[in-house]
Amino acid sequence: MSFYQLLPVLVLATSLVTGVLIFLLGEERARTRTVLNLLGAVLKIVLVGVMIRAVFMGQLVETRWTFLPGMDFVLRADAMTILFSSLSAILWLVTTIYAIGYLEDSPNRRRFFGYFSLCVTATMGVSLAGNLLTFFVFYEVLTLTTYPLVTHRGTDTSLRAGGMYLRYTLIGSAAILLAMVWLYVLAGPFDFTETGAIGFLDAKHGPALIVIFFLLVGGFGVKAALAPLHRWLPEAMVAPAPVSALLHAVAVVKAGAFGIVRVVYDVYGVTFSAQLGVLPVLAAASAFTIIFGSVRALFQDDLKRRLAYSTVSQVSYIALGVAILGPASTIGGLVHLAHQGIMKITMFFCAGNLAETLGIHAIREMKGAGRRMPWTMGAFTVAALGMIGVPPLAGFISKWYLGVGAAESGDYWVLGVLAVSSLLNAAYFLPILHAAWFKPQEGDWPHEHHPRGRFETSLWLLAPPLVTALLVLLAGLFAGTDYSPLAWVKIIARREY
Amino acid sequence: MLTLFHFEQPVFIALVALTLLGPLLLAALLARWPDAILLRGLSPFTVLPALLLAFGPRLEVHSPNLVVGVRLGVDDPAAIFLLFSAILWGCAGWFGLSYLAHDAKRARYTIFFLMAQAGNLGLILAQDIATFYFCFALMSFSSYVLVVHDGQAASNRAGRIYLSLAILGEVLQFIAFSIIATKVPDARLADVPAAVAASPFRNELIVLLLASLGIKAGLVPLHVWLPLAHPVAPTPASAVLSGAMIKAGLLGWLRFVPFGLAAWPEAGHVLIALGLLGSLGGAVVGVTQRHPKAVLAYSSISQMGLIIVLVGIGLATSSVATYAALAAMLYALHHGLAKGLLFLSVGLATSDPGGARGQKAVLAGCVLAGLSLAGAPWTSGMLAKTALKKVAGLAPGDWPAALGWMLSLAAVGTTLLMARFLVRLRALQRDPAHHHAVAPAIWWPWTVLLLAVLAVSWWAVPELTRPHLGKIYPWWKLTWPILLGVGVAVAFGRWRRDAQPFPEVPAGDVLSLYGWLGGLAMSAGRRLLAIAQAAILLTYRWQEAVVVLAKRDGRRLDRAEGRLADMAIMGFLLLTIALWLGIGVF
Repeated sequence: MSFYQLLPVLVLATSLVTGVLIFLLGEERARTRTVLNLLGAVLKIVLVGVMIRAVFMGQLVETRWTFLPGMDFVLRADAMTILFSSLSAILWLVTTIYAIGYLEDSPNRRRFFGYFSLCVTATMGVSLAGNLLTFFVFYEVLTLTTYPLVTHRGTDTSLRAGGMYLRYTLIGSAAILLAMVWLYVLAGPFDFTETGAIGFLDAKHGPALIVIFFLLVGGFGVKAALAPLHRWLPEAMVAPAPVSALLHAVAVVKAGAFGIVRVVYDVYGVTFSAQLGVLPVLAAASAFTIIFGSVRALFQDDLKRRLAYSTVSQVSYIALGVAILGPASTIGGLVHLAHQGIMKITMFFCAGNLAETLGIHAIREMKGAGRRMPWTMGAFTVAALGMIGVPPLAGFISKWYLGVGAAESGDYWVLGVLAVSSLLNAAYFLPILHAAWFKPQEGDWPHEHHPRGRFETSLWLLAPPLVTALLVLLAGLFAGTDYSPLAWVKIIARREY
Repeated sequence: MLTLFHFEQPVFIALVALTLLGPLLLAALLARWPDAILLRGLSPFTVLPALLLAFGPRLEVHSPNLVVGVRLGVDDPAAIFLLFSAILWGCAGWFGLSYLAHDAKRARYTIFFLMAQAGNLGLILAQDIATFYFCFALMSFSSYVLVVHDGQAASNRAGRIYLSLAILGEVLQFIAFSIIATKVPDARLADVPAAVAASPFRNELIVLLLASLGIKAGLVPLHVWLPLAHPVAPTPASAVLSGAMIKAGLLGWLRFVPFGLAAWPEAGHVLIALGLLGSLGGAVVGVTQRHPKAVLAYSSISQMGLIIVLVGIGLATSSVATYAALAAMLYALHHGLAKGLLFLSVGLATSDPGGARGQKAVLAGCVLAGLSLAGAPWTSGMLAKTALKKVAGLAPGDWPAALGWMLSLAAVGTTLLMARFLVRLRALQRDPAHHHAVAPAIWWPWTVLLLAVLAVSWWAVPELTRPHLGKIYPWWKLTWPILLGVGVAVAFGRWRRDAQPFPEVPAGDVLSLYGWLGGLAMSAGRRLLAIAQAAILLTYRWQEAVVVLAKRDGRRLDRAEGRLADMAIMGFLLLTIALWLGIGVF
């Protein structure tokens, strides 16, 4: 077995082994746990780096294991994998650091970090999956490992949210399973293939393929929070801040979006999907979700709830970019997978810092927060401006390519959607920034429990949002270099058309 | 054109980088050390690289690795815009040092002042679409903080209206720019006009560009934010808002609209008419204003109206487009500096550092700048007006005859506005209630700006116009409107000696009309939503609704209503998007 055949397994193992070891360790072994966590996360980044180089060189990185005749379990790194796995690897490290600070001295940390590592293993598996079956397996593992994280606090609301999450995602999974079996009957075994795997099928299967497409997209759409399947996401924001951060930026929501990406590009193929005529429907659904999520976000006073509805809206940019035929919109959609991740994770970190340090949960309590926590609110501001699409931040790059792609393919109505959504983004983010920076503080903070020291809050909590906010700036400012998400997404787009 | 020095590419790159990053870096340092006097004192010096660039060679730098490819350069329009913008930003920044020396929020002010400056100078240097868009946004959003600086209710209201229109402008720009960008390799600005001219959506694009950039330029009826926002900002910020930033819209038009490549006479006619409306209407509303800064803001609308007339003529007739564009830039140069000087004078009138003699000097400077704006002989105004009138003579259709007397009427209006301004400024000088103590150093920037106005009058503008202008317009044709205006003002002054002889039109004039229309639309929308809710109530959950209504259970009613409201919003949006899609498909 060569190194490159082993590499995908090693990437999974870094977090799987970490997770298992953490479960074996005692609850009170905090220091060992921290070392293990950080070691695993750093090792994973190194391995993903090796993988990037291999894929860039055109080296086949694949583990294949036949467990039933005609049914392979495939882990393979292609260009699309790299996009998702490098995002997960980097954000896992950052979130681990954050979670260590966030959960300091709180109960059940062993359980938390154990499932946390398993959750990342599942996410990595989703990104490495080389066919639908493997994808589905990890996708399900992801559902099961995130449930304990969502319900970590064990309160009534979090249990209710967890239950809702399970109900929604399991129904989605049932749809995916049905579609997968149906597709297997029609097309036999196939792997994810750039430019599509089932384009060879006879035209008489057209109607069936259309139904299967919507079953798959609908199933993945649950996690991607496509309206009206989005209801679980705003409820799940009762989870601790690091979980919300990971949920919204990489793990769950993105796994759904990534599923849609795989279905359109590597199962059907984007040109074949366009021939089937399914893309306009997906475009309409995502456009609707973009507007709907933003409108709902406008009316939320709870900060995390507003951010959650903002995710509903922003993740659909990915689906929108996927649903428009043409390289530019593909670039815009896929690059948003990474960009939305770093922007939204920054905002959830900041929301967590406000809650942990000052006890702020509602937007109306944020007046003057900029003066008390300038670094946190500075990072939040960068991310919020990025979400609105202000250049030269990351969000602008996504919007620019989406806009250019829409104009290229003649879908001018998309420009209207982007414009309205930018307006709505500004309408729900700018008041937050205004309150935090320009309004004087009113009375005491709701629950200030971190004493003022050298920094505005614990460094474990402060460093992660600063790093990710810096990434938001760098990903936009240096988008044209060879090391940006944009550059990688351009490689993907070249391979998909 | 105005080139005084020569330097090589590396020096050029360094100067461009300093122009953009210098102010931003200083702003960042100030954010860290808000009380460092030295840092604040450095802020006016950040314009020096831009000033050197204005007089330097025409060069360009391209960095494909930054954002979506950044291209910065100096061409002829950039040199002209840099000249007056850099002088104005520098003098206003310098002025602000003393003017806001004891202001509690001076650090915040300086930070956003520097950011807006980087945006304004950057959009002049921008040679690609995305950089222009970014710098325009940076300027617009940073200057919001300048508008709301004093935190008074009036400023906050002005800031809200300003911000709403600025965001609307950004969004319209985004739509236009992304359509254009698909057709322009590297999104290079130099190739944009040809691409717009060749686009199947040429007319739609032109309308989008005129509207989105017209917000900044004070194009009627999008001007409503301007008379509210310009006066409430601290005086040096008003000077750059009304002198420099207002011109960014014009530069955008010159960069994006295909002048000379595609004529669109109908739009040109509309634009000429709107320009005249702004010019004459601005004068009429302006003379009713009480505060001298409000008078000046309306004067800006009036002067920008004349520039818009030029843009309209250029759009209507391809053959005169280049000439019209040049005249418009000349007018921008001339107006920018003079208006800046007038605004700074208001600051001096309220700070009283030089006693009675100082105030006389301020008045003398204002008279000079006012005469220049009205187009008096031996000022830059005369040359600018000559260029304007020559282009007007080449206007399409029946416009030349009409423009002939309308422009004279506008000059009468300008003179009256200036007279009104001087009267109100005098009142401010005499009223010690508004005065606050300021260090005498504040005279320097004002004096430098005055010298710049004179230098531009007697050197730069003749230099720029000589190759194009030919014979100067007969001076008496420019002078009689001024004399008439002065005569009317003096006569009126003798007749009515009270301070406010006529009712003041609320600043923002037609804004209340928009508010009324908006309210109408809102209540109609609310009514529609209520009907939709009722319809859904009857069809969707009628049993539950009946039960709930019968039981009069408040909590369940709330819940049901929440659900129904959701459904209504969803249905409403679905309908909108379906319509949208329908339009897109057919």
